[in-house]
Formats: sequence, structure tokens, C-alpha cells
Amino acid sequence: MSELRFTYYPGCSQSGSAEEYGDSSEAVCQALGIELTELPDWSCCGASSAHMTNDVLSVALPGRDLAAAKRLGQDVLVVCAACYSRMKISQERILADEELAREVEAAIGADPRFAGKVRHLLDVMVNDIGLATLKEEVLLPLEGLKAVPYYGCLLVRPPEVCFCDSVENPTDLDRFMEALGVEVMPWSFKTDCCGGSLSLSRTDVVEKLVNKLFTRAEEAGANCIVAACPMCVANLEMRQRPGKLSFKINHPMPVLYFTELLALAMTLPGARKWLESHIIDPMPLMVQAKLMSV
Amino acid sequence: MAEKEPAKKAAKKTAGKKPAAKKKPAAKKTAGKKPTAKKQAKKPVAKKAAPAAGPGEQPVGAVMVVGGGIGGVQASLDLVEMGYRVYLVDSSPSIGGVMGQLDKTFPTNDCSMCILSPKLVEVGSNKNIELYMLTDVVGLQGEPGHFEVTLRVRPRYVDLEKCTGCGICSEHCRVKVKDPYNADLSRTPLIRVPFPQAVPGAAFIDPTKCLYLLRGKCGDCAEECPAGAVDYEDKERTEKVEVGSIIVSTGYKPFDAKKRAEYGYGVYDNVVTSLEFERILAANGPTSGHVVRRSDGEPVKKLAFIQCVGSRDSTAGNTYCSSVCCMYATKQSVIAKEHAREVQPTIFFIDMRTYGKGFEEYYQNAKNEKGVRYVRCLASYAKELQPTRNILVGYTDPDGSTVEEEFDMVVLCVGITPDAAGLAGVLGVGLNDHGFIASDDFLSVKSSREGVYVCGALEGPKDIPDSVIQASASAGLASSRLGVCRCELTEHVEYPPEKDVSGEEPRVGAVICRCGTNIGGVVDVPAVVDYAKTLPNVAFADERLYACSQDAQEWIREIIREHDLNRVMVASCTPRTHQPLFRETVRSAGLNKYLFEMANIREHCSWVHMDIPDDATEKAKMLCKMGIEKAALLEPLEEGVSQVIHNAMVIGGGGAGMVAALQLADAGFKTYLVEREPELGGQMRHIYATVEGADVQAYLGELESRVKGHPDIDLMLSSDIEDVDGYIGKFHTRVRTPKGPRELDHGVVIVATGGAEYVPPPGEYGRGSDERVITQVELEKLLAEDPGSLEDVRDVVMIQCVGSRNDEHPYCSKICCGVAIKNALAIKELNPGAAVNVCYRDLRTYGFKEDYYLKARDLGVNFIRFEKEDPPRVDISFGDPRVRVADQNIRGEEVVLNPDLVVLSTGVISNPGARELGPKLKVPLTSDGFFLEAHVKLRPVDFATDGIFLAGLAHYPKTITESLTQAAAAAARAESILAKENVVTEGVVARVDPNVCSGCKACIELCSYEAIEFDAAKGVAVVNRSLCKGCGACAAACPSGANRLLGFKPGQIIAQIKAACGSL
Amino acid sequence: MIHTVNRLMETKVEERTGERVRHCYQCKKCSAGCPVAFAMDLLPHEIMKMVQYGQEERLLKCSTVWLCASCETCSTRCPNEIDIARVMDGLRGMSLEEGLVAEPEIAMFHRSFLNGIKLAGRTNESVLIGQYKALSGRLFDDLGLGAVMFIKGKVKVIPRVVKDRKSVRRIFKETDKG
Repeated sequence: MSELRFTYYPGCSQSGSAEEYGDSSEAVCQALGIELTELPDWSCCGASSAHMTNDVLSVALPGRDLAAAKRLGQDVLVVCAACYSRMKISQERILADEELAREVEAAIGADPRFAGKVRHLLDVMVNDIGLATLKEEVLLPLEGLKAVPYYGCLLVRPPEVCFCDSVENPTDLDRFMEALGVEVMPWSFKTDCCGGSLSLSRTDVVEKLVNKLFTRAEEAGANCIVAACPMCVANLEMRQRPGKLSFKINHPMPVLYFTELLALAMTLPGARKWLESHIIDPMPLMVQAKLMSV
Repeated sequence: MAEKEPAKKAAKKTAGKKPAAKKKPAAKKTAGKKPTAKKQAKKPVAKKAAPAAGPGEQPVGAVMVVGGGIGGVQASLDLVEMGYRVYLVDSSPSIGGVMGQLDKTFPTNDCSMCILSPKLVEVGSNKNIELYMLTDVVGLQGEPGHFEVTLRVRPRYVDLEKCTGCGICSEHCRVKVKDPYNADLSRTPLIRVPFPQAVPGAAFIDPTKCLYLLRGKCGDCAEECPAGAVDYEDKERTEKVEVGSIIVSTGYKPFDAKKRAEYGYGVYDNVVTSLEFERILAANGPTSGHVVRRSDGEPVKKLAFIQCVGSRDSTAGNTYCSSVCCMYATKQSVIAKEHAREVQPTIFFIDMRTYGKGFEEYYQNAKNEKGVRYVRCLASYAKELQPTRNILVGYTDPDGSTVEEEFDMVVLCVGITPDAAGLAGVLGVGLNDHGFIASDDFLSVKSSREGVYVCGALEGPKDIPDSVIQASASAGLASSRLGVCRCELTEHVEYPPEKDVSGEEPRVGAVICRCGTNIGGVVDVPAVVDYAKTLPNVAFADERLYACSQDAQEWIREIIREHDLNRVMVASCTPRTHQPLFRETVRSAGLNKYLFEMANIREHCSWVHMDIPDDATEKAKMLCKMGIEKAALLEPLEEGVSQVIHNAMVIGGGGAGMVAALQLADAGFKTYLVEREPELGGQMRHIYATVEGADVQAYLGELESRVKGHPDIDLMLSSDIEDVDGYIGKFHTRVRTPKGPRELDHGVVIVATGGAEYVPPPGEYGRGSDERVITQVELEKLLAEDPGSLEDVRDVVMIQCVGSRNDEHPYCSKICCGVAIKNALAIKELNPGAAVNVCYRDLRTYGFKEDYYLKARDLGVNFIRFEKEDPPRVDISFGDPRVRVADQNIRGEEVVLNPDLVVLSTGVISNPGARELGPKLKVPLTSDGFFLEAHVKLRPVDFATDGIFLAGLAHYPKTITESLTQAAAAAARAESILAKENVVTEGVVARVDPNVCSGCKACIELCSYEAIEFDAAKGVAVVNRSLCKGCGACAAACPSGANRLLGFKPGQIIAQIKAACGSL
Repeated sequence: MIHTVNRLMETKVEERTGERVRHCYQCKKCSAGCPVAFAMDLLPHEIMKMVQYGQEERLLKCSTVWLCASCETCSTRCPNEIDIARVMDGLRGMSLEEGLVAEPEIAMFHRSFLNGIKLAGRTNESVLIGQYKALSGRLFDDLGLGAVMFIKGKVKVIPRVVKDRKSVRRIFKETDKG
């Protein structure tokens, strides 16, 4: 297991609003013997803003990081779904289009043709560590959590670059949670968009999308949503409006990172701190599920 | 026995080719044989030495048909009629194909199995068709006329000769698997008869999970089988069969709906495929025809159909249109609503492609009368709502709002995908770009390898009538080089001598059919049986699950022998489809076939009295009593035999007429070809290329010169049919020719009188007021003959459905979308910068024509959709033409176009001459003036009047390839009559007693078939029994009681009436 | 009403995105599955048609290209393999270049976001929000939420920056076409 070594790309959110995601990710990696080396002097991937307004920039920003990764040689591990998506698309395009590669090379002043793999942590958990090993690591089975998995857009689309087993009905996160003892509820809205990129600018639109997701999650019998993307989690937490809008949810519903669940199941020390830092407080649920005391 | 006989004959033909090898196994098979078991030779019966036939050697008078669906079945039946031996090979344990799984068929709503089953039984009981079930073709050697096919026959583990199909083995089988007949919706034992009407009607073992075959445990079925038919030692074997031609018809496989994962098939229980839904609708299906949800068995109210799942879809890899889904979804909607009135069907579609005969009317009726809702939007997803398990479907309304709507169940209309690669490799035939068998530009049944023909969905997506047309056409072409050895390998059907029943007391056997749940689900069948037993003259009465199944025929023969029956009455369905089958059975048991009577307790009883089962049972009893009372009075009747005149008459010298004439003349039959115009070619003269790019004029030239130079074709140009007399085998026609009248005798008629182009009246879309408003035919001529005149054209607008799909011509002309795209592509080729805008209602590029629609879009042809109520307006008052059209794809926003050429896609109308010719031939026409075939589904080139056949535009608008292929089919059907020395005519005919006839001639005037003549010398009416159709009109009108319809004599009818009234 | 039909726009879109919008046969599946369609003035399938009609101004002025969340549901399901989201990217870029932005707040958000990267090499959410609020004038939106985030420790006061910020600015300079 300790064979797993990666160049680690933390991504901006993990040192900002999604610190709990970054910290829990690093903690579970350490606990499972996944060796991470932080990409030196990494920069932002440009996220949807670069993608939506400047095509070459959207390739060149991740290109700078890919060039750095090329120098280290190891595969890259990413935890943020948006960073993962931008990084992979950028890599695919650079490797497939030599003209674009040269343009990017000129812009960043380094060779961006990184041929190693760009991996998402969920992919590594499910396909490298493996569900059997994860099950063995579980000290506190997460019974009492009735979760729906939320993949959002960037873990599954475009399917050509994504690792999930299906673009419309992925099960990677489902199976991951099942291994931890979570009761995974059948849910048809796993990959519906939450409108993250419009969260600040068109709050009205985003609230509809988000509250629809929560309504459907409540209908499915879930008491929490579990995700693998800081953009989704931030958006779902910020724009949740219990009791309002046409899609009405009745109670606040916690949104958790899959790494937090693993840390909890492995009884890693930081779990409580991370859970307490969520905008929608998951502690009442944790207490109710007898996973934590008050 | 069947399989020995040809071997002997074959040995004779290929003398010195080690005939000894066949003796032993054949001898081994004779013991305990019964007719149902005579099929599927287990030992190498027809095996011969490697072909190595020299070019001068005589060909083999046998044809191999690979695939036992409706295509293969029809081809086999045609071939035996033409005088060839047939080896029918299928990889499954029985024949029937997909059609056997369908509930009803469009556009007639016929019960699919009910019209198929008689054909299956006919194949099963025909001595000249040898069945190879569970068999794959693994090798092909030789050349046309002398092929040697290697077959691999998988073990059945059940001896066909011993198995009676009783089903006891199934009851004892310990392992259940998903039932492929029910599209995996139910479970079934490993050892079973595939479905009740299966041919052969014997069990087989699915070896995949058999405890005995895998682990040597169990063995219950062998122990319990009363016939000792189970044989675990059965082994795979290889056989070699010599044939002259090969026809392949192995069908298709449905698109795997899981590949369109956004619809959740395989994830959500209430999302099913259309084939699964067909089984759900079927009375013999997993839910007995109740439209209920898979998740909880609750009745379905809101039902959605999603079209184009795996069709017209580059992403899924299938860019072609599957051709049948729009119609089957419409049919399934209508039938679902018939099953339960509360069902509300919605069909989500892109373009409604109801282009075939009667399809558009069916669609309009479904939409306007039957309450089927159509939404023009390809649904984006189907998602299960977790608490209710309803399915949420997302679509867009015409007003631009996006809607999420809940449905109880969603049906995915899966497309047709090819399953041809393996077989094509073995046979050495080419595939097209989509993986179907590649076929000839003009005769779609020719594969790339000479002597190997293809029919059905293996050649491309198509419906049943088109498959049947191709089946007959492929049979005709398969015969083309084998004519010299016709009847060499076939044997005549030998019936036992007819038993003389005169003077015997009637002993009636009454058989009451359950028809699965069709009758048995409503009528208390055991009560009817008990009642029948109490009636006078009934010597035996019992019930059957399906009286039409092959094993039931054997059973009927047995009860006739065992109980010494001299009359049989079957209470089941309609005599229209099933009477010939039962008559045949009765005859093969040694009784005159007219000693059979039928009572219809399905259409006349269980289907119409579904809600009142008790009353239905009483009515069934009464109908049975009527049948039995009449049966007791039945007399043996004689059939007429008339010699066939081996000449053919083809009316119409267009492409279809020429192809039909050439095929018959090539087969050695003298053929008269009559054409009204001074030149050959018909509509084909106006067509320069097919959509696919084939050179029509070159082909036409070839046909013309072959026709004109053929020694067996007697061509009459500028000639007209004056009148037609006679009947099948013996027609007499007067033709008016420029050289004077001619009188011709012939055995068959093929009607290929073509169609005409709709001529828009002046003013329609600016027609007539400006020379820049032209028709597609005119454009095509310019493109071919004066392309220079179009080089400066910069903007072309085409308008579809001119003279089609409107109140005057309610049908779709089928070809116009393809023609428009063909000409749009030609303009783009000539002048890539020219704008082409096509105004359409539904783009109907069915099948592979969709490729050209895509190509046109790729080249920048723009398509603007309009509604019938808001057609484009062409305005020429400002000098240049201006077209305004409301584009319904963008909420009806008006688009203004300034073309320099407006092209009207005018429809196909029927040939005005058809209305004169129809009565002369005594054949019917549709309200649109096209000729009406005998049965839209299964007899697409026959008329109800025997001996007359139909092809080309005279039947319905169609492409050149479709016309010519249909002509080949019509010629094949005609050949099956011309190949015989005699034809047998019906025994139920009118007869006039000359001693009683007063000579009033009332009957003569009444007869629609001109079958009665007046014998002036004797002063009495005389019935020509060959022309008489047995309608009975004359008998009813005869004032003196001299005219009697045999089989419906007054005493027999009165007995029925008494039976009915007596029990009231 | 559409008066002049031309293919210029389609050519432009293809040059920019490589997508052949003309392959569209108007099945409307893109619109049917678009999560944001309810807020759009032109539906995605209408965008496809308008491109074919050459309706440049309407396309560059529509809200649709800005509301598109790039979820790529349409691209994934399109039966004609048109990457519709990519077409939206292209039109959005053209809209920016022409200064015809229908949703200035969305454009402002993206500008704020990229400005942040240009300055620090990384995105600092509090800086981003601050800058966006200042630019958009929506100073008092989400105030309550901001307080919660502050309490939860989600507002990082000291921005983390890339050491070699020059290399990042160089990228912006090199890729800036406007």
C-alpha cells in the first residue's frame, strides 16, 4: 500500500473555505500510507472563470502546474473536482494538440507535456486502495448515516476524461460509502448540476437548483449528502434554504466530504474539528447517529 | 420420410458421389416416427461429397434459408411452392423470430402470433422443408448452383422424434432462468417448449445451468418424461448440405438500452424497452396483457414512450433511422389504451416517421381519435423518483418552457442494430458502413456474393411487410438459376385415401381452444367442454391451450383415429386465418377436408365480452352447439383442379413491370408485357439517380434493352387492357394494340401500373405564376441535363409535403424527403456556396437515408420545420420570390427567405388508370386509388383474387429500389403458380340444380366475380367453379332454390339457427 | 422575425470551437436536460438554430451563454456529437470581445476571479468576494452567510500566494487576446 506516491496538488479552496476537505484528505492519505509531495509553488487552475472566458488561459494555467509535475515525474493527485477536471482537460488537450501545446509552452515558459496520470482521490480510494482494504480500516462503521452520493458535474463530465464507472449512473462514491458502513440511498440526481459557477453572481438561479437537489435527497430518505468537490459542497451549504422556494426542504441537511467520513470511520483525531467547521452543522446528525457524543 | 427422400433423389442426381454414406443413419431414424418429429435431421442425411461441380453440371434443386423469422418462413414457403427443397436453419430451438414475440402488428392491429402461427405450422408440416434448429452456418464452399454449406448442430438433448411437447419435463425442472421469449421478464424452466405455438413443438434443454449436464446431478426430466425423449448424451455434430442458392434472413438485435444511460434502463424497474413492453401487452406474456408496473404491479396510467433510443444517434454509433419505432410506439400506445382505458400514453419524438401504407392515417387517428399525446422533443432523461418509483421525464414544450413530468412507466423505443458480421464472414458477403449486409442498388435482396440473397432486417431496418416482400423477392432470385432442376428434390404430398363417410352416423369431435388467456382468461373452457359432451352426435370433446400449435395438429389426427371421428368442430378463433390449417389436418387424417367446422369463440365472444365472463361462457356454449349441429350435417366436397397456362401477363412497363417480366421470362415462362405509353420506363424515366447515388438511367437502359431483346417477352407498347376473363391458372385477356386487338391466355397477372406525380394547381405555392417555382422532378431534370442553368443559383428553398399529408391526400408520399435531400446535395455539389433551405413537417429519411440527411446538414443545408396549419407562403408580387415560413423549432418565429428558386416536393398520387383497371381485374383499390393487397402485413404483393399480384407505385409510393424489389417478389409469387401443372380451387362453391333453375338470371347479375353464365341451350344458369369465390350472394337471391352454396346449404344453416334459438 | 439568413456565424463558431452546429437536427434534447434552461432567454436548441440563421447580434446579446453553467449535460447526451457547452464557451468569448454581455454580473464575477489569480497566483475566496462585491455593487448580499463563514473559520484573512507570481502574470499576458 505504501507503494502509492503522488505529487499532491492541494488546490485553492483547500486552504480557504474547504480547509476541512484538504486537511481530511491529507490525513486519510497519511493514515493509509499514501505518500504525498506537494507540488512546489503550485498555482490556481483558473477554474470555471478561465474556462468560461479565455480558452487558451484555461489550458495554460493548469499547464503551469503540469509543467511542474513533469519535473517531479510522479502521478498527480487532486482532491478538488474542479481542479481535477481543469487539470485533466488541459493535459488531454496539450498532449493531443501539438500546436496548442507549443502555444501553452510559450506562455508559461516551460514544457507542459506531462505524460503521467492526473488522479482524483476518490479514484485512488476505490481503485487503488480498494474497497476491501477500506473495509478493513473501518473501526467505527458509519451506521445511522443515510447518505446520497453527489457527484455533480466535474467528476463525471466529460466522460472521456473522467474516471467514474458511468457518466449517468456512477457508483464509485456509492461503493466507497458502503464500504464505510453508510446506508447509501438509491438516488437519481447524483450528477445533476448544482450551478456552482453561478453561486455568487446568479444566486436566484442557483437556489432553485440546490433546493431541488435537497428536496429530492429528502424524498430519497437521506439525512446527508456526501460529495467529493469543494465547489459543490460550498454551493450546497451556502444556498440551502430550508422552508423556502418551490422545491421545499423541511430541515437543514448536512453536506459532507467523503474524506471526512473515512476519517471518522478510521477514528482519526481531526474528524470532529472538520465536521464542526461546516456551514450546515452536521453535529446533531452525528450525535443522533451515535457516531459522536455532544 | 422427409429427410430420406431427398437424399435418395440427390444421390440419383449426383450419381457416384458416395450415396452409401446416407443409408445407415436414415434407416436408424425410421422407428416410431411421427409427422411432427420428421424435421431436423439428426444425422447427416443430405450430406454429399464436396461440390466440385463443373460449370456444365446441373445445379442442385435445393435452397438453404438461414434464419426462421417471418422472412425465412415466407422465403421457405415460396421456394417449396416453386418446386425446391428447402433447408431452414435457425440458431434457436424453434422458428418464429421476433414476430412471434410481438403482440399486435401495425397498421392493422392484427394479433401477430395469430397471423404467423398458421405459417409456422405450414413450414413445420411441409415435407419439403427440412428444419435445422439450434444450428449455425460455419462454412460455405462452392459456387452458385452448387454450394456446400457446413452446419454445426448443437445438441437439443431432447429427441424430436419422441417428444410430444406435453410439458411434463418442464414441471419437474429444478432450475429456472430468464425466459428469452418473454424478453427476460419472467422465468422459465431450463427444459421447455420455447413457446406454445413453437415449431417444432418439442422441448429442448438450455444447457447453461442444467444440473445434470454440468454436474451429473438431478436427471429428473429424463426420469419423468413419459416418452423417454430426454437424451443427455446428445452431442454437437457437423453436417454438410448441398444447395443451389442461399437466402439469409437472421434478423437483427435490439439496441442495448443501457448504452443510453440517461434513461436509466437496467437501473429503474419502471423503465422498459419496447420489446419488453410488447411482451407486457401480449396476452401470453408475463403479465397476461395487463399494463402494470414492474416495480409494484400497479396499473399504469401515465405511460411515456421515448423514441430514437439508439437510432439517429452518432454518439451511440448508430446514425441510421430504425424505420419501425414511430409506428410501433404508436401501435403500442393504441393497444395499451385498448387494454386499459385509463392509460394515458405520451410519445416523445423528433420526427414522426409514419411513411408506409396506412401509417399516416394510423398516426392521425391515434393522435386525434385515440387520445395518444405526441410531444416533439427527445426527452433528455428518465429518472426514478425514490418514494413513488414514478419516472421523471424532462422535455421542452413548444412554447420554450422546460418541463419535468412524472410517468408511471417509461418505454424506451430501442432501435434495430445489426447482427450480421459473423454470418457475413462465413458466407463471404460484404457489409455496409452500418454493419448490415450490403445489398444491390436496385434489387435489395442481392448480396455481394452471387447466389447468396438476403432479406429482412439483416439487410437494414425494416418492418414486416418489407421483410416479406424481400423474402419473396429473394426466393425468386434464388430460383433464377435453378429452374432446370425444379421439382428434382421435392416430393409430392401424399394424403391417406379419403374415408367414405356416407351412410355413417355423424361422430363429431369437438375441440375447444383456450388460445392461452385470449379465450381461457374469459370463457370457462372446461364448462364448455362438459357442455359439448352432452350434445348429440358428439363422440369426443376436449380442450387445448393452443389448438393451432403443431402438436395440437398431431393430437387432432390422433383423436380422429382413436375415436373414429368423421366430423371435427374446433371452437377457437377466426376461420379466415385458421380454417385452412385445420382443414389440412383433418385431410391428413383421412377425412375430406370439408368435414370440418369452426366456431369463433374469440373475436365473437371472449374479446368482446371480456367484462362479462359468465355470459361469455354461455355464448361460447351456444356457438359450439351451432358449430356441432352444423358439423353433423356436413358433406364431403370436391375441389376443382384446373391446368395452369404457363404464360404470364405483366401490366405496366415501368421499372417494376420490366423487372417482373424479365424474372419470369428468365425462369422460362412466356411473358406478355403491356404498356400504355409508347415507351418503357414509367416514372423511372424522370429519375436520374437514387439518393444513394446509383445511376438510374443506365439501369433503365439495361432493363429496356433486355426486355426488348428477350425471346420470351412479348412486348406491347401503346397498348391497353380491354378486359380480363378467367381465373388463376387460366386468364384470358383482350389487349388493344396499335396493330389491332389481341387475345392472350395466361396463368397469372402482375399489376405494375405505377403512379403519377401530384400536379399542384396554379397558385399553390406560387406555382404557375413564376418560372422560378418548379418541382423536384423538374429540378432533377435540370441538374442532370442542364446543370449550367443552375450554376448561378445562390438561394434555393424547397417545400415538402406538397400534395401529401393533407386533406386531399392524407397519406405520406414516402419518397419526397429523400428526393429533396438528393437534389439539395446535388445543388451543393454544383455550387457549394448556394444556400438551400428545406421547409419540412417531419423529415422522413428512414433507414440508411438518414445518412444523407446528415450529409446535407453537414454541407450546410438548412431545415425549417413548419406545421400543416401554418405552411410557408410564397410571394412573387415583388419581383423576386419571397418565402415566409414560421419555424416551429424556434417557437414559430417567422423566417423570411429570398430565394431565386423555389422547389416544390410534389407527392406521388395513384395512377388514374387504376380506377379503370381495378374493376376489370376485379381487384380492390384504397380510397387513395392505390391497389389494395390481400393482407397489408403478410401478403403485400398478393391480391385477394388468386393469381393476380402487385408491385411498384401501383401499390403505394416507394423508392425505385423498393419498387423493383417488390416486382421481384411479385414475379416470385407468380412463379410459384406457373411452376405447377395444376391449381386446386375451393370446394365451397355455388351449384345450380338445372332441374330446378327457372333461368331468371337473377344470380348472374348479382355475381361480383362474373362466375355464372347462362346456358342458352338449356335455359339455365351455370356456375364456373374456378371463378366462384363462394360468397353465397347468388344462393341467397335464387327465387327457386336451385342455387345452393355447398357447405352452406339451407338445412345446415337452419340447424345452426335452431341451435342458437333453441338455447335462448 | 429573421430577415437575413447567412452562414457567417456558423463559420465563425466552427473556427473558434471546432463544433459543427449545422449537424443539429433540432431534437431539443439539450434544452430538455439543461438545468438552467428555465432562466435562459434562448434555449440551447434555439442557440443552435440561431447560429445556423446567422443571428450574430441576438446570440452575443443573449443571457443563455452566460447562464450556461458548463455542466456539459447537453454535450454528453447530444445525439449529433455537438459539444454544445463548447459552443456556449465560444459565443461567450465572442460576446465579451464585442462587449455585448447580457449578464454583466456573471462576467464581473469571472473577471474578479481571474484578477485574483493574476495578482496572487492562487484564489483567495475572501479577496475574491470582496472584489466581486465592490465591482458588482452587491455589497450587502450574503452578509449573514459571510458572518457564519467567518465564525466557522472559512474566511482566511491572510492570502496565500505563489512565490513566482511573475510566471503567472506572464501567462495572462501571453494569453490575453483582447
